[in-house]
Amino acid sequence: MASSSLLRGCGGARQLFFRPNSVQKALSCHIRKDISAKIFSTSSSASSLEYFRARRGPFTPEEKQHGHSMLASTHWKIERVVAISMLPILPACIYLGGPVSDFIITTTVLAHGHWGVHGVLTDYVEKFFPPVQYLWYIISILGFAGMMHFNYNDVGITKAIAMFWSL
Amino acid sequence: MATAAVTKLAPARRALVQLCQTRCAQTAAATATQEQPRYKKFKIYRWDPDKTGDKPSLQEYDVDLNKCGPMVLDALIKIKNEIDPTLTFRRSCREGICGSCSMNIGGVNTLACLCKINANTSKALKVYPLPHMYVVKDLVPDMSNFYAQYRAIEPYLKQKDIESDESKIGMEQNLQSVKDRAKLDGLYECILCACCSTSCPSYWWNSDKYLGPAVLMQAYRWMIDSRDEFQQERLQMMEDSFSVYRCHTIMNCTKTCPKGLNPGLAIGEIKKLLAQYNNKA
Repeated sequence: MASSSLLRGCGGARQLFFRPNSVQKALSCHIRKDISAKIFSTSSSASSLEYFRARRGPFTPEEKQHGHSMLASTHWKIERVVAISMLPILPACIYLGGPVSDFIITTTVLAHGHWGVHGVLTDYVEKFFPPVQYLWYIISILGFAGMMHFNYNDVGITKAIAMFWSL
Repeated sequence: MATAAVTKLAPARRALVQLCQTRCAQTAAATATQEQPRYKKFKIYRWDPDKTGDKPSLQEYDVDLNKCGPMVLDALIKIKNEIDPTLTFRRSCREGICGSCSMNIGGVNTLACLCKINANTSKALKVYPLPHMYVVKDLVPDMSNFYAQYRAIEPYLKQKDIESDESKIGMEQNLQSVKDRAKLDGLYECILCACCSTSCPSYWWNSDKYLGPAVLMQAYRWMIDSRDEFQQERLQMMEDSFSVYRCHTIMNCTKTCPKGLNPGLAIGEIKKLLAQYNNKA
């Protein structure tokens, strides 16, 4: 079995990687069927849930990027820059106060939170329910709009934090 | 002349006699303790694909530790030889260099041949196949996805002039400084037993797209090899949100590695390289 799986892995995967998408899909489907027929005794009801089943790789880079315009390394870099810059920004803004500080705090905290939950959803949910990311974008945008509304038409976030501590 | 030789040899002969006596005494002591057998309970994951409708279950075996080698693999071989020949597992070198006998022993992914049996006979030892892998039979997991991922990172030396003209293969030596060679220490020792990848929660959920610690450490090993000329391309291969970035520095990989390597550090270094390289090129 060890040698046969080795052969299967070596024979199939390499060529799969550099073939046109349609051919690759057909091939990988064939291989998956082969594996499941050989090893698993799946019931017939499982096939109707094909959409929810975790797809076995390997995936092409295009498939993995799934429509993101920004390169993953650039995105990762921006996330880290924001996270590290929050360390001085948060106390400085709360100390200084004012509308500019309100805006900076709102933007960085919400962006950081958005990426954090986005990562969790990518890990656990997206595979089974792909639209979840759109839902999360809508929630984040609504949250940001709410905070901006609070900044413009109310006391603003830094003042609110100061008031909360003065209670 | 002859008597002189005998007197010279006398101390050596006395030493030999003494040695024989102590050896006999030790053997006598050993046989004395072997009187009481020390039975240790092994609970081993069993699943047979050929029996239709068979459900995975734990089967119990009693092994006398006095008549068994010190490692878990010794016990498994003893069970297969003497108790149950249907027990199925992979093994080859029995000294931690082939990576065949990786399995989950007492809740930890490790090599059965490097894992000592806990001498506490009051506790049973549970042995499972590597977690979150498709099981072929008993303790044998399906490694084809793991090998396909390893294949995908092109784990071999690549050079630009050889790529364009294959007749140059073997014409020149690839020289490497001692310092550059030292960079590969702690990376090249990996035996691809998949203990680290299968201990990684990110790999459990996303093994289809995330490459996993073992494969990423080998990717890093070829990225930083001074003789390899495709670092840029190798980094571009990782340029998506899944291949590398599903690593959240959980560090189960480093904790479980039976060879004492640090895949978590290697992935961190890949992230650093990805942050620094020119991704527009």
